[in-house]
Amino acid sequence: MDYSITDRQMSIMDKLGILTDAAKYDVACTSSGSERRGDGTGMGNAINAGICHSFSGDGRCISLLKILFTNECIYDCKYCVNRRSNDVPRASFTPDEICRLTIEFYRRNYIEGLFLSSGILYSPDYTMELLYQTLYKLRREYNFQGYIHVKAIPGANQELVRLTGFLADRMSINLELPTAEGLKRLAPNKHRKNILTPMRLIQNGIAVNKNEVAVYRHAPVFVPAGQSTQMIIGATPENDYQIMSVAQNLYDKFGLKRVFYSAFVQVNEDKELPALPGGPPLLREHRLYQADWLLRFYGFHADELLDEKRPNFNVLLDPKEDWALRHLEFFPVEINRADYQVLLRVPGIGVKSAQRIVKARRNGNLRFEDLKRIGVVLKRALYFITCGGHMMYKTKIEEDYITRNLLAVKEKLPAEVGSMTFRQLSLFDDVRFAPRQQEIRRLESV
Amino acid sequence: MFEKDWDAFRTGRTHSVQEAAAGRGIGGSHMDKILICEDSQEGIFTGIYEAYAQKCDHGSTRIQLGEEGNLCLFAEYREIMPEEHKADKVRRTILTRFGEECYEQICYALSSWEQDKGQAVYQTVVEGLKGRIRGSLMDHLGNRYVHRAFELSRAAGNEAHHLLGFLRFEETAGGVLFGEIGPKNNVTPFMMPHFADRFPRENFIIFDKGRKLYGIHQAGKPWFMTRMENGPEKADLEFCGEERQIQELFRYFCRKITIKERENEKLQRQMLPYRFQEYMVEFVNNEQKACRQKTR
Repeated sequence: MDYSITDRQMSIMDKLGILTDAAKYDVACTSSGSERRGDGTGMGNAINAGICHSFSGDGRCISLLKILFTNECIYDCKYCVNRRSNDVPRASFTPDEICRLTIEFYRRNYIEGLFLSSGILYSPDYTMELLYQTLYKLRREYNFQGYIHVKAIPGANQELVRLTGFLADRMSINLELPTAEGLKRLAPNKHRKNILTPMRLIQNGIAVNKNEVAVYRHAPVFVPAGQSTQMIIGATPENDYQIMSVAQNLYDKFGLKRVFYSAFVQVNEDKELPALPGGPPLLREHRLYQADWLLRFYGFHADELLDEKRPNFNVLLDPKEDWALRHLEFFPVEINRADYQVLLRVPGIGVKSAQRIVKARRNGNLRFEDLKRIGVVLKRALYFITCGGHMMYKTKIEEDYITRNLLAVKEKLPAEVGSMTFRQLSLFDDVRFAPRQQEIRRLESV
Repeated sequence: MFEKDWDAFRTGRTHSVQEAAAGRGIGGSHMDKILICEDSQEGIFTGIYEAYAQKCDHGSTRIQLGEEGNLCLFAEYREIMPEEHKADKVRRTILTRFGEECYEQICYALSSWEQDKGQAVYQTVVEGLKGRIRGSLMDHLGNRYVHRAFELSRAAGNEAHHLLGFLRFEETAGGVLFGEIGPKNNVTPFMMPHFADRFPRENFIIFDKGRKLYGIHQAGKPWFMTRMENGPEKADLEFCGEERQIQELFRYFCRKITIKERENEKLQRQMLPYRFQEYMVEFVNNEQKACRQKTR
């Protein structure tokens, strides 16, 4: 089994480059959900809120050392850079290299821990075992107590997944695509069943472990930060309603901590893949995340936000405003009386401000100035609330009227989305050339 | 006698409120009183103690930190020297009357760089000792001083949390991890417990460049803070041979993790402002940008 495609003489720098490049499309980089003090002998602890250590050029947070163990892969998923049929440089770390990198980065406070994923080398079992070995080394030999997020490989031996779970803080299995048909079309080697089985396994493991820890305080903890998953958005024709329903199901039935949405980035040319001349569908991804927050923290249900007749989010309004405009019968809400749950549904009031309102109003009525200080976004909320029975200004509770006003103060949308698309013409301007120019620039930079 | 007054307040007996009001009458003046305190937790707590001990009318008394260029004509200035036992009494009162969480928030507020922190905390304590607040004192955001103290503590707390991530250690030739920061608020003491817990077996130093303040942790020992006028800075130190390579590796990692198609420098700057980037190894080229930002 000594056969390997890679050059064994590669420097650690080259490997890090290749395997970071290959891992960057994984979205999750959170280090939250685990609270653990250091034991005074090793290195590391974990903070419940998570800590961002840096931000990359695309504005995403860097909190974990996000790498693949190897980008050699036996699968041929059409959307993936590392697919078997792609001719890209391949590399593999050794467990020791990963441990050293993690420790040296962690000591200097560059990272909060390790995010370890992998291409499928030889077989799912073989790969999962490598991941387990790496984690074992890091935890037991290097005595590392920081955060570890590891991927469970679909189709791997259940016992291996379980053992790995005792070493990691968070585990995740990517759902990849929202529906089974999409998965079949774009990832012919992966099966929905193989993805959901380990997800269920981890869920049950967490539930059982909760009971164990309740009885034996020092029992080993299984995946304390819960599990997450990720879906690619815009590679297949699913609508937002389908995506949100899947997410809702995952939260309800699989007890997931997070579902991540990843706007499809075209890295391969394939007849099955859509062409996206405008770049990745970032605004759609943004709306899905907003809706995801509504599911997790605001007590909304996917069916409330969308339905068969309106299967997609309005790009111009955020999902909460959109919901409020369609349910004007709930409004206006009296700030000094309304329930916490009702306050949460008002656009412009978030979880923090709703909590502060509920606490602050115990000591007397709140006025609009107070709301502003508390952090309520009045320019959005003012159409939906009253303070002491009065609205802030004379406003009508009318869908058209409010929509018009909300759009006037909207967050800044990309130029193509708004209705005002005029701009100064220049002789050398052709909007349609934009993507191609980008491509030329990219080729030049290579 | 003063101590007796303070104790009466601490237990919340109301007649002392009237005494204090009467005290203003005895003084006979309607001038504002300004207590000049040292810019430290002890200084401000002593100031609060004195405000009660001297039976000041809290409506017309202010706490000011250090000398101010502009003096008020119709005000009486009093300089307050920090005294440990007085500050301790105030500290204990805050802890017992308002709870640990509130005390922590007040500590964060007092680490702020803003000049009005003394006044905000003083008036917050006054508001709390009136005994009319239901629930936690810091939740009473309708009051403008409580709100101000809340705002200050939130800003300092946020900065401290950010710096837990943005701090960069560099290993010196002697094997000590040295991290330099330039925070607005005096947050180093709040960061030390986190790192002491995280790196119990390391020798590390966190250096607040603006305040010349060092947080020092020796392996296996408790951490402490110290101030040195001409202590070592990053520029004076010699780093170990491996340091350069590892920084290079991390810089390479940061470059590689960026998805070209999603490039968004504005978002990056919004999440990680230049004033932090200045001190971070992966942004060495941004020093000029940071300078430009400052001069603006």
